[in-house]
Amino acid sequence: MSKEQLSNHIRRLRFDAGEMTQQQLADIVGVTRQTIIATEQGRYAPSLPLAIKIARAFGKQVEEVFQLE
Amino acid sequence: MNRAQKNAWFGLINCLLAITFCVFFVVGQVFFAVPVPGFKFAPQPSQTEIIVKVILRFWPLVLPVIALILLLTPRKKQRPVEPDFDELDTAIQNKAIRVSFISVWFLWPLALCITMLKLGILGVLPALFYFYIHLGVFLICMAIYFLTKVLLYRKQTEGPADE
Repeated sequence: MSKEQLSNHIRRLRFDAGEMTQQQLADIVGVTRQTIIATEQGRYAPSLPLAIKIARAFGKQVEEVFQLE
Repeated sequence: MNRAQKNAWFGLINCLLAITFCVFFVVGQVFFAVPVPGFKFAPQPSQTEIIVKVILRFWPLVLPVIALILLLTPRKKQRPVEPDFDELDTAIQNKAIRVSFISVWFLWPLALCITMLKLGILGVLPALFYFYIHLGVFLICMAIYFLTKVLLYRKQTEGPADE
């Protein structure tokens, strides 16, 4: 069975949202900047509540931000 | 570097210092020190002598105690909005706890086997050394815990942080 990986478009969405910084996004969703860095680079799969909060911060659905590959 | 990451570094440095102090203490006791008096015929020590002996034998404990006090001391936040601890910190902490717990399975039997091989099956050891053997294993496990945290933080959060 192949290992599924969670990819995301956080980086692109941040730049689309007026070049939002990682720290600004972290403050909006209530986590540390390290968590945003790890999530953005695909090193950490966020919990469902955090994924929803990140999607809401960009005004998107969770599936539009995160994809299972 | 967030607060949890700073605490991991702080804990690692303290554990390594405490291990160093313990090694110095045990080596000092084994190679240079005053022999432990016989239990049966030793003269009864005075109150001051007991206090001095306790301080001399347990001084390496001072460092972990100071570290604990400093860890629990509230510090001013650099950014008031930023949380102290979030889900990434919890995930890293859980992994570090697992690694340090598994290390106990190897370290404890290893420490006891080395002691038994060194002393022989019927060998005896002053009770003080038992304390230091267990304290040593505990400190090494704590060092492994903090080291794992530091490494995981580095692995998870390295790379370009664009602002």
